[in-house]
Amino acid sequence: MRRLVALILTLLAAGCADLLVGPDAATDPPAMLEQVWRDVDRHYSFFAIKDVNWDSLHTVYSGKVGPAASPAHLATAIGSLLMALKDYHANLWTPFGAWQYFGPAGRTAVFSEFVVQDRYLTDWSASPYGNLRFGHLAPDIGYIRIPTFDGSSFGPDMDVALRRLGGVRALVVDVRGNGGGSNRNALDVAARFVTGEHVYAYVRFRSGPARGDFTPPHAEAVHWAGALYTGRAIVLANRGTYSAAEMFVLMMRTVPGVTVVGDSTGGAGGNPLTRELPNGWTYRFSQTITSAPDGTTFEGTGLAPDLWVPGNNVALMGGSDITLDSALAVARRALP
Amino acid sequence: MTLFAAAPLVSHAQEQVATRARRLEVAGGVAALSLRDEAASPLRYDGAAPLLQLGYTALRERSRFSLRGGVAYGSLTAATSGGGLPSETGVHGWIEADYLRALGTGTGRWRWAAGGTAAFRLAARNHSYANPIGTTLWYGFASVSLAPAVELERPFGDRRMLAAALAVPLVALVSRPYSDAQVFRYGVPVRAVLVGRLQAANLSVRYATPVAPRADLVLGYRLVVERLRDLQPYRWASQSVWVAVSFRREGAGSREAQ
Repeated sequence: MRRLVALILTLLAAGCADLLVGPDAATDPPAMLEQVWRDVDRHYSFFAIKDVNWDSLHTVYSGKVGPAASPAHLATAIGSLLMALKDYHANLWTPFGAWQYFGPAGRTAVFSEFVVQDRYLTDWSASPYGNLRFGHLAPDIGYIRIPTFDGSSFGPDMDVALRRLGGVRALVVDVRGNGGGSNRNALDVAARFVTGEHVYAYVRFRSGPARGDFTPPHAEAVHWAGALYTGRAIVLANRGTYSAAEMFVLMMRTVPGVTVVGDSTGGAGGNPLTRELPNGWTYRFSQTITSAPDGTTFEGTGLAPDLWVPGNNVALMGGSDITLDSALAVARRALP
Repeated sequence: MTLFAAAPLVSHAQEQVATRARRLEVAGGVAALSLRDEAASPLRYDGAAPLLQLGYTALRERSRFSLRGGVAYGSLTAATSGGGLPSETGVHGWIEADYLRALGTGTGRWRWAAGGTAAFRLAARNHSYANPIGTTLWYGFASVSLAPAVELERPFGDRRMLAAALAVPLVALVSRPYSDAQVFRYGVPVRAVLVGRLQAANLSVRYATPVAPRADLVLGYRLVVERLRDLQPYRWASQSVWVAVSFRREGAGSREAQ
């Protein structure tokens, strides 16, 4: 018995994890740069769309990162490498900063929640789980603001908002500046506007080592759930509308009578794959291609609105949200 | 983590001669887990997890069939983890069935048995990344494996028994969904792999001693190792120790060893 106990303790105490599963990967800077480059090469989905020579970038950046490179220098190199993809979902997080691409220079996303609240709404409430803010633009016109699709319980929040808006005949749903979050939350909101099944997009995953290897397109659909809103719906979007918020725009475009007002969305049409480096830094990049039902992709370009009324900073500073003004005009035209 | 093991060893001297007997075993313990799933991270994650296992064994004069199911739940961290991130939290479950037949006369001090083990194992983990947006993704690994197994017993009389078992799977069906986004759309991909692709072993050691006329106390140790050679390799190791109470019921025609 003593021998058995000794054997067990010896095996456990040996902590033979290194022997059994191997040590952590090397943390030398060139190896970590190589890991990121190889991961992107193996899993990134938009090589055919982006104007980027990934092989050439390997040559450029591997020459910049030697074994003695400082962590800050390595972070800058990896961050710059990922930024070359010009992809909202290509990110790096390190103690030295975060890298994220927000579109080409000159793009603006003009919006002020304060102006909407102060100059347009007659009342203003937050939903029980804090995901939505809502009120009335006019007795028959409701307004729901969704600043992000991060979080949970969007469905119950929508049910409460629709009930408390009291059967408005037109509803403005504002996702301007919404940087995304979970598609599930976007589905939970859109589910209040549809009957039956609405296919809103097709998704393909990168599936092999060749840059053209993809899974077959998979139809993405939204189904009715919860309280059903049957009045006129207007969606507000702009260049700050990204990712899951763009999925929401795609979902809402399938609803008859919905009008999208504002500017084109940011253009982040990929589901991100998140990875770690041996030093604990995290990075991610797109692993899917999302297409609209007509087959068009919007990565980098965004989804065009039905009514193009980009925000105007000068007007906004004067207390006027011209995008919302246009949405109100659309809503009033729709009401008898 | 697939397969598993040839199992809880056998029995007791008494059962070695019983023509029919059944045993029910309830075990609790702790497992030291190590994981390196390069689909999620190049880092190694280590931690401890409590485990619970139930077992049933049907004994014949020269053979034994065992069925076991267990679960362990815990959180693993990496060398770089700070403030709890990054981390792996998940559940590991297993169902194993093995059939062993005695080799030789079974009358010596050391007794050998050989047979096979079929095992289903599943690991479902949430990987929480250390980034400011709080990314948490789901990763899974499941396998059904077939393994030859061998067991060595050393009875000490008075129903005390030391036994060791080893199973090495030769063929398995494996699946390792790495993100729910993909699984929900395309289902769970399953592949058949042979021993060259899946390198795994399950070694267990048990010591049983009687504590009541029909109950034994069992102390056990088990080492499970799995390595899947893949584009993104998967490596898993579990070392567990447990204490079990094993209840025995003699069937018709059994006879007690004296």
